[in-house]
Amino acid sequence: MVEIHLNLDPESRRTLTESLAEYALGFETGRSSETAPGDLDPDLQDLWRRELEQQLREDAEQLLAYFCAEDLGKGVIRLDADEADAVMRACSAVRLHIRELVLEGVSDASLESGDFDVEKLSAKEQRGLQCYIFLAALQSHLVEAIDPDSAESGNEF
Amino acid sequence: MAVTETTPERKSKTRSRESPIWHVIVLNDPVNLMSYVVMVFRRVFGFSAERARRHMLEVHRQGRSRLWSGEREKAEAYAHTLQKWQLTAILESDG
Repeated sequence: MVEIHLNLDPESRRTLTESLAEYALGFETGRSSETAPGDLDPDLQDLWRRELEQQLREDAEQLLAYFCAEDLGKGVIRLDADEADAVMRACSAVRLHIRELVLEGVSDASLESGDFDVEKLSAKEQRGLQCYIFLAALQSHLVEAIDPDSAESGNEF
Repeated sequence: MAVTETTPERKSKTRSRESPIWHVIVLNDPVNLMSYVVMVFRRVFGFSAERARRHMLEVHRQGRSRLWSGEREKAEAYAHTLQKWQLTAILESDG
């Protein structure tokens, strides 16, 4: 069981839950559609893609169930091992989605180093970045709680 | 009895000569955290923390790392599992 303590002011909570809802529900086609081996039978490619999309949907639902709630930030969130796995996967998926959808104007190097002027980003980009950073912190916390040996590798990208 | 015992071995040798070896390759991405990638490698392949970290750093520095090699079916299963964890995994063969 992993415990998560969040302390958010009402404005941050509102912005975060709106962003999560927007980006975690925004998967129309996952990256998975392009990742099945090209020489697979078309039916198997379709199965490959559908299974990934199903996993993605279930993971996103788990993330939203816990972190898109009205009482977010008021009390402790407790996740069992399966729920924590789903939330970790969803954190990656939503971050990849935000990266491609909202932060495409920020270079990989700048995003990794944090060396860019946030004030120059549009409101939408700033909102996406806030969500992006929150999900990184959440995922990092979960990795540290579940597998401390892996957590020693750090939180760079 | 002797035939039953030797046939699988002969089949296996034939297959190893004719079938290419498939490699599971993970490509770098600018999003996933190092600690998360190490954890996924440990989960999926049962690597030690040290070995998983070595592969993660290879991905980070060289853009790709070969995580596993062997028969096609198992390579597909590994690649699919890695993709479920949102890593960019592809298959390559020697053939």
